[in-house]
This record gives sequence, C-alpha cells and structure tokens, in this order.
Amino acid sequence: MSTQAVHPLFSTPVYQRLPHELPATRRLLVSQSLEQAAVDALLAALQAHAEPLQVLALGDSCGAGEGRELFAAQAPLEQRLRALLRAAPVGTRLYLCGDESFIWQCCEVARQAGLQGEEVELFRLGARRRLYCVHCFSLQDIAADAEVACACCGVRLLVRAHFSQRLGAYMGVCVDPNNLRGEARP
Amino acid sequence: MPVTFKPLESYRDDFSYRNSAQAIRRFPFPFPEDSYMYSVNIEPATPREPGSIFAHWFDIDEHYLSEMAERGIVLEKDPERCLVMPHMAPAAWDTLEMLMEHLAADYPEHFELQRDGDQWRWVNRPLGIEQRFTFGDPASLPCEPLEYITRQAQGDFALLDQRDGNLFMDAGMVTCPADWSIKFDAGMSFTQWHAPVPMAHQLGVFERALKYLLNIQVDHPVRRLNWTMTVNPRMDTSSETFHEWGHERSQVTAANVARMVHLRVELQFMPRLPRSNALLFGIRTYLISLEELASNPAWACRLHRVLRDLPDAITDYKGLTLYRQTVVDWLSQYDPEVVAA
Amino acid sequence: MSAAIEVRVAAVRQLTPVVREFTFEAVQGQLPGFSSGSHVVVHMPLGERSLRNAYSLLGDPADRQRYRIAVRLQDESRGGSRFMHEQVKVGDRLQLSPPANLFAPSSQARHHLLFAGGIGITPFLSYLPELQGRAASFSLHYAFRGGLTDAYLDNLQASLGARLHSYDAEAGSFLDLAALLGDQPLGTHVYVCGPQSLIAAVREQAAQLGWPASRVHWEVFAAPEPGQPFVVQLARSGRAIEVGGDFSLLEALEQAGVEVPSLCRGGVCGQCATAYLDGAVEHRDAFLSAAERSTTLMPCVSRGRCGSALLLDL
Repeated sequence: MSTQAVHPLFSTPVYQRLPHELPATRRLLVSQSLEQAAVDALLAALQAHAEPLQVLALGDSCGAGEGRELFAAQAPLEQRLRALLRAAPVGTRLYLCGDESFIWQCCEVARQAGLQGEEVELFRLGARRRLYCVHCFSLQDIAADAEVACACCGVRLLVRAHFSQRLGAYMGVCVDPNNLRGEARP
Repeated sequence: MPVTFKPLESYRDDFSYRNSAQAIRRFPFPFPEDSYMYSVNIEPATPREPGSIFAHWFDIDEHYLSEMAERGIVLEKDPERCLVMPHMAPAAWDTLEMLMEHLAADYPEHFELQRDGDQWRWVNRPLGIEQRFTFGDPASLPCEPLEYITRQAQGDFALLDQRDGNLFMDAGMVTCPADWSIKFDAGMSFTQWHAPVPMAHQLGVFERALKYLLNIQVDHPVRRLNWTMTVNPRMDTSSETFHEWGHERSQVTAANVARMVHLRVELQFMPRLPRSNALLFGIRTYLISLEELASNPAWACRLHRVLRDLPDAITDYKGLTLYRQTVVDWLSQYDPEVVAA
Repeated sequence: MSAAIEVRVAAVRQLTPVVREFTFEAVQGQLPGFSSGSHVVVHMPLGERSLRNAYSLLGDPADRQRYRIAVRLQDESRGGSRFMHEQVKVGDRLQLSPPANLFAPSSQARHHLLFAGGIGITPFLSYLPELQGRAASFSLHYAFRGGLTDAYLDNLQASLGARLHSYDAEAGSFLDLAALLGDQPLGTHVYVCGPQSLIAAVREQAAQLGWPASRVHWEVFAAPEPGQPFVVQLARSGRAIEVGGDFSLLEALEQAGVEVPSLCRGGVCGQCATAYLDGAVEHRDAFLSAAERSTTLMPCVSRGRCGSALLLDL
C-alpha cells in the first residue's frame, strides 16, 4: 500500500509550468497570491498575449490596479469569479494558480459556470491540499504528509495518489484496520 | 428450470451465506489456465446454456432475497451508495426499462411487466411488489428510478456517460464493490477510476478495453470475468467500510482458511443503453468458500497454481498479501504435482 | 460483427426534388432502440454486389415502431442514392446494420448550437424531440438551397419558432459563423452536419475563437468517393480481391466474405482500421495520425493506388 502514496497515478492531477499557447478571446488569472516570484513568470507569459488579462487574487486591496482586483478572503473572490464567468463567452480561458486546495475550489466554481477541463489551466504553488476521508466522507486540508489522522472521525489515514477532481481531493483510507486510531482493536 | 430462492442468509455479522450444490455447479470459475495476468478478456455476451449464469442478461439466483436485503442494509447506513448526477436521469430510466424487460421475459414466474404507452405496471413476486407508474415521471415511483430497479436486481450497476471519446462514471448503485468507492470515483473517466490497478496500464489493457467499450452497439452487449478474494462472505467490501472489515484479513489461519476465505468473481456485463447512449456496467458478484470450491478438485488445483504464481503487485492490489500463503498451503493438497513431490 | 436487421419499407415520401424520405418497420419483433444522433447503415444490393451507406435516423427516439431516414440524390453517386431514389418501393425488404451513435448531444452542454447544411439536417431531427423533451436550451441554424435542399423546413418553422434560423442561399442568405461563434455563453457545445466545406468552416472559426475541440462536434455522411480500381492481396489467406472504382475497399472485402468491424463508414470513427504490410495507399480518413498511416489504413474510405499491389494483414 505504501507504494501507492508515492507514485503518481492516471488520476493524479498534472500541473503546468507555463500556459499553453492557445487562442482565446478573453483571459482570466485567479491567483492565491501575487507576491511569489513564480507568479511573475506566469503573469509575464499571459501579458504577452494581445487580449487583455484580467486578474483576481487574494491580497491587500492597496495592491489593486488596472485589470487587477484583490480580495481579503477566498469567498468574495469566488463570488466575483462566479459573476465574471456568468457573463463570459466561450473562448474564455481561466488560469488558476495556488495550492491544490485553492485551485480545486476555484475549479469547482468554473465547472459550475460551464467551463470544461481544457479551458482551465492549473499552476500549483504551495503544499496545501485536500484530503477526503473515505470512511466518514469529510474533507480536510493537509500538507505533504503521507499519513494523517482524520480530523472528523480520528481514523489514521493513508494519503493515496488517487485523486477526485469532483471532490478536489486525494483519497484517505484507513492505514491499519487492526489499529484504527493508533490503538489496537478492542 | 425455475429459480428457487433460499431463505434469508447474511453477508455480515454471523455470515450465514452458503452455496447449494447447484450454485456451486454454476459458479463462474474464472481461470482458463494455470496462471493469471491482466488481459482484455472481453467477449460478446452471447447467451449460453439454460441454467448457467450466462443464460440471461441479468442473472437471478438462489441468493436473490438475501442480496436484496443486504443492499437495503447498506443503503440504510449510507444512502449515497446510489448516486445519479442530474444529466444521467435518462440513463437511469433506460436501465429501469432494460432490467424490467429482461427480468420479465427471462423469469416470467417471478416478474411481470405490462406497458400501455407510458403507463406501466411492474410485478416482482419474490419481493411482493406491485407498482403502477408513469415511465419517465420520477414522482410516480417511490424513489429515484435507478435506485428503484436496482433494489430489485442482484449485483452493482455503474452508468457510464459516453463523451469526448471516454466513459465517465456519472451514476451508479454500488453496495458490493471489491474495494473501491463509488462516492470517491463518481465523475471519473474510465482511465481515472482504473488508475490504482497496477501493471495493466503499462500492458495497454485499459486503452484497448476502452476502445472496445466505446463501440458497443445496441442489443450487442459484451461481458468479462474479473476476480479477487474476500475474507468471509462479505458483499460490502467497499473502501467506505474498509476500516470495519480490513482486520479480517489477519484472522485467517490454517484451521479456518477453508471456510473463511472466498473466491469472489465478478461477471461484468456491458450493454449499450439505447435511448441515452450511456453504457451500463453491470458487476454481478459471486462468492464461494474454498471449501465449497474444492468440491471440484480441478478448480482447487488450478486456483492453487494461479495464487502460488501470482505477481506480487497484483497480490498486493487485490489485498491478498496477508493470507495468500495460508490459502496456497491449504489448496496444495488438491494439486497432484505437489502431492506427488 | 453485429447481425443485420431486416426491415420492410412502410412509406416513401419525396420531400424535395432531391430528397426522399423512407420509413422502415421491423419484419420480425421490435426494432432496437436508438439515441439522438444515431445512424444506421443500409445495405443496398446493386446487381451481384452490395453497397453500404450510413444514414441518420430522423425520428423521435421514443418511437420504437419505426425508423425514418432521408436520402439526398447525389450528383456523383456511386449508385447508392440513385438506388434508394429509383429502385426502393413501399413493401420492399432491406437489411440494416443496427443503430450506432457517433454524434450524440453532449450531456455537459448548457446550450446546444446546431448547424445544418442541406441534408445535414437529418441527425438534428432526432435531437429536437430529445432537447425539447428535457427543455434544453438550443438553437438551430439551417442553411439550404430553397426548393431543393430545404427538407423539413415547414415542420421546423412550426415547431421551433424563434429557435430556428434559416439561411436560403438562393435568396442570398448565408451563415455568419464569426458572429455566431463569437458570442455564445460558457458551456455551449456546437454541432455541425453538412457538406465538408461547412464542417471545415465551423471547426476553423471555432478554433480561432478559442473553442476547445471537445466543444465542437461534427458528422459527415458523404459516401466514400469513387476512385481508380485496384487489387488488394490478403497476406494470411493469400487471396486477391479486385476493388472496382465505384466500391470502397471495405465493401469489396465484405463482398468477398471478409468482415471487418465498422461503424461510421466515413473515415471518422477508427473502428475499421486495418494493418497493411506493403503497397501505396491513398489515405482519405480523418482519424489516423501520420505515424499510424505508415502501417494502418481505413478501408471504409482509403484506397490502394492503381498499379501498386496493396497487401493487407488479413
């Protein structure tokens, strides 16, 4: 079982380093931060296109500017994204940059708005990710850990590489059924 | 020959499930040779001899009442084991129609269907059901149509939406899976939900299988057998409940192995759903204890060789690692080569 | 390969000077059900040989009693459409391959944008009852030559109202693809059926406007174009089969009793892909990659070259 936690699977998401060179009529970048150097490279690549780039990001609102909106929390950012996509035509490309928890929550907003897989490009920065406990069906944010206790039911979980895009989460499954919560079965 | 149903037996707690001599005779022993490797073992689902599990599209056997009661128990605890995304509603009705038509035609002593336009009457005698409803109107049934009909049919059912040259598991009734989770895998493509299977991707098995499945035509279903092993005759070996049953793998001993360890065979049956163009993926599970299986010594001998030589990656994936050796040791008494040596 | 269904011609209607509609009923039992966008392959006995052409099913998929198809008389027909127009009468029996669907509406679409050119209207006739039945959002853009290729126009106007947009080339009215494709809400899928030129134009315009390929669906039902006669050798049996200029390689193989699995018979689905070992090939499919073409061909549309023996791995 331990090997499964290490090797990527066909369901493990693949993240990009630079955006694809594909035509679009509108480009939208949603980023968890604008302060990391890696975001600069992405911004530069996107700004090289003729179409205007619209940017939504988490951060201090004094950093806002032309075509750049900043939000103190993820909820209002998602709300703004939802409103923009409601009015957007096919031909819109969405670039999501941040840790996996952030990316996949935004991805769900995009999916609900009607965007499809290849219209959304993903750039991972940071280790935070979502884990789904297959036993109690709860979601929690974790770091790069290979094993973790479920925050809801307490069962020790192995973090598998098996990933559900619908849930935006990796699968957590009981590490040792003889020893559910770090104590032997009664 | 009409099917007669055994009184209720259990797939949990006291595990009273047993196979009759007739059920053992018709058990789908899955190994055509003395070794096992993944392959695209898909064949046209041509009906075979009456009484065999291949006689009809949907096999009903002596365990019908018990299996339906077991499904009820699982759904009581975890209603979302039946999951239908909104765009799969037409495929759910398609499934209901296909099951009702085939069950009524193949088992007229147990099931009956009358249709007058969209006004239907369905009778399921073993479960004591008589239902009048309007085809296409979910409000005319006591529950969602996929759940309604699959509470009356043995085996799990996944409904696959066909798009973008792939198949997506967007609906299903899955209460007896072999160590996977419909709630986690829902929405995945064929390639994604098979991701955890070792070796087969490298062999190109899934790529070829997918190509085959995408081209299945109406009225020309295909089938294949798959297998694993289960400790105790437990139907619900889902990932969801692994923390409740996984420890049983370490309870197998030389003294209890023959009754405790079961060969678990899935008859996978894949027809095209005519109206929705979705693919139905039926997974009909058969369980047999080693003791029952050894009543056919040729099966026991072959299973001995298959398990003895099974690659470690497959053994691990199927969850057999903890007790494989105990099983191999017990089965060796049926292998003339071992006995002679 | 799937067994053919025998049907009886129940009705024949001339819809326009070049479009004829046929209604089929099962000779025995019930016809297999079908989904929106499905087609059947009609087996047409022409003398000693048999042509097979694919036609969309036009009826409401809920109707299990009959199939309907519409056939346009092709100017450069290999004989198939001419046979349907001139020979087939009410009461005749025909063989059909069972329905297959390579052009289904996407379950993910929020809005369906349909483009039909002339006889390309046919697959959409089975879409409409389905889309209307589930109150889906859609619009149909139908381009034709008035009085010649405008089959079903009156019915469509009556049932669709403002969701139908018609373009009569005779009246100087044409589709504006850039405007239409440039302003569609997220979640729209576009479907096009008609002449190759219309399909190419829609695909190209959509790609330029940033539509991913998975949102663009197309189906072409041109019968395979005639070519030069050639000879094919079968490596395993050692047989030699002559392929006439009017017949596809697939039809010639079938005629000789060599069944190759097939679905679209138009070079699109990949089902009939067959390995070859030697010979020059005129590839006409839209499925195989350049690399695959060095060892594989699609006999439904592609041909050997005159004067060069083609050796198939069959």
